[in-house]
Amino acid sequence: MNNTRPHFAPLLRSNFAHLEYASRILEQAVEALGRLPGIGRKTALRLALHLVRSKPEYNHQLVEALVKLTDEIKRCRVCHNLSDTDVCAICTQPKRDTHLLCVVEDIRDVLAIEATGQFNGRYHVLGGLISPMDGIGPAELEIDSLLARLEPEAIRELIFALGATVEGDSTAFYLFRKLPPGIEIRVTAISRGIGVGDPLEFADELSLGRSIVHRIPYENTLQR
Amino acid sequence: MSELWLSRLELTGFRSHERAEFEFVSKFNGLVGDNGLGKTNVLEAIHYLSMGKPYFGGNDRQSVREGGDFFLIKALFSRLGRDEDLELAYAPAERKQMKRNGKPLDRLADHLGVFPAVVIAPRDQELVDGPAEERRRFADQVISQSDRTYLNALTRYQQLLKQRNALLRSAQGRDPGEQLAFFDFGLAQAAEELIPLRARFCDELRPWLEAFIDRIGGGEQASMVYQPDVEGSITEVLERNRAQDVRMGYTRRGLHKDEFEWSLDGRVLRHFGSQGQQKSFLLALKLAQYALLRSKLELTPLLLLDDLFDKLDARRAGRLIELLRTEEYGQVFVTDTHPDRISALFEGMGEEARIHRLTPTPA
Repeated sequence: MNNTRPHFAPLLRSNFAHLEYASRILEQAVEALGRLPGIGRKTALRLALHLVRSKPEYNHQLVEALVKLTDEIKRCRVCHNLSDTDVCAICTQPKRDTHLLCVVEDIRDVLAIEATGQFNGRYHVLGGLISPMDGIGPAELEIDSLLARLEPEAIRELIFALGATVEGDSTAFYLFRKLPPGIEIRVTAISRGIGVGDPLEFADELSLGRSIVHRIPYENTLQR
Repeated sequence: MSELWLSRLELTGFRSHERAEFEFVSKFNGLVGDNGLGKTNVLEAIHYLSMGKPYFGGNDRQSVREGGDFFLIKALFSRLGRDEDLELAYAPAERKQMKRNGKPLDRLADHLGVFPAVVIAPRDQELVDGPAEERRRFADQVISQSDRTYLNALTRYQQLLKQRNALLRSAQGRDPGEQLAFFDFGLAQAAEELIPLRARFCDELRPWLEAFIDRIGGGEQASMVYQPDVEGSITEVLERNRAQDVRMGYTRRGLHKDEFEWSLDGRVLRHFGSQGQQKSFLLALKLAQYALLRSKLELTPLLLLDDLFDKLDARRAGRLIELLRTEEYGQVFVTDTHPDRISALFEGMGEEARIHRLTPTPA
């Protein structure tokens, strides 16, 4: 807790619905910050007051970054990842295996898989998973654009790298059934099982069960 | 000495308790005091530590003391000879968090069955009178505590069902086509795992139930029969009901409609049992649950008896306490409004029993 907290304590305890900040400008800032996910009114006020005390050039940098984020960021025309250019840096990289396509939910998954250094193909970002409860059906996702890539790009293997949840499974199932009949393509899914460094006794039965069913030749475990 | 027992409990902002502390003994603990002083809330807190959720009704938010903005339950257990700290904290804006020996638990599911507890309370009556959902929840909770495979498959089934129903609702009477395929496939797959486990649960509980009815009285023969809503292929049933499901906007058949039929002397308890018979049956059922969990978990669960005299007169209550004194039972908590009745029950037990008086908090 920073030492400014007690000073604002009377403010925080009052009922915000009827609160007068004495500054309309401050109120607008709090309201705007409070719209961010995970930021309540108390945190928004703390951030706003922090910004008031910050050096002006920091705030101008922040404003500039936000404006650019709003006006200039694009979605890659090929894979739908976020990008500064029409086609993203991954899709234009010459050394990538263009016949290998990895399907992911969003940009965070691209970053995670890139960080492993184990994948040298390209990606397709769906922009979510099928979840009727959240009003997300196939039409809301980049599914048609994925199917449209398969033949022109001569994809040989399609890898489903989706979360091990009902939503991830249902999305993969739907995609699998939507593949054009007769298309020659290997469809795989990332393996599920015991995490590296996890002792067996603490593994949940479902993951452990899968690891047994989908066991691999021992030699394969010696590879990186 | 019980294998599992609660020695210290600290409540902060939990239901009626602004702050309360208890030092329990390892066998019998009586909680006495007038109505409204929070005796049942102490049992509720213990149930929270065991199952991560309330038993007596309401939800997490309603378990926060009026006017407060969080609750905290801290406890010290002895489990298989080792001291264990448990802590459960909840604030409406944040996630419920449980810590075991200071370490946060990622998934509450992994905690089930580790600190088992069985509740016997007046609201058990709903298991007889209430909808089939009550009986399914009872079965699900008992099986889940001793079988992680069941819990995983059940969680998956419930998630799939929610998604399928949401899809049917959003389709507004039109067939959602391809999209249903996965949910049908997944539901069938999960049901295939769950149905045999529900049947096995009944087979395992039945002998205990019969033995306890015999012991407690109130009937000659008790039984419990599992009646799956769908016998045979769920896939086929979903297919056959598809048009109707689409029209109604929800999944009408499946595991979520299963019934557990309870009967006494060949007559269905819900329709024919007298009040007294139903109460005896429920007591036998809960003791059977206790025995089954004990044999599966190899640990004596805590037994939480709320308002014991609701189910039993003084003579039968005394007989029950005699039974619970044996080695097969662990720590027991009993609530009552009459200090004398509890004192009489615990007479001659010495260190084995302690009475905790709840008094009004000074204003």
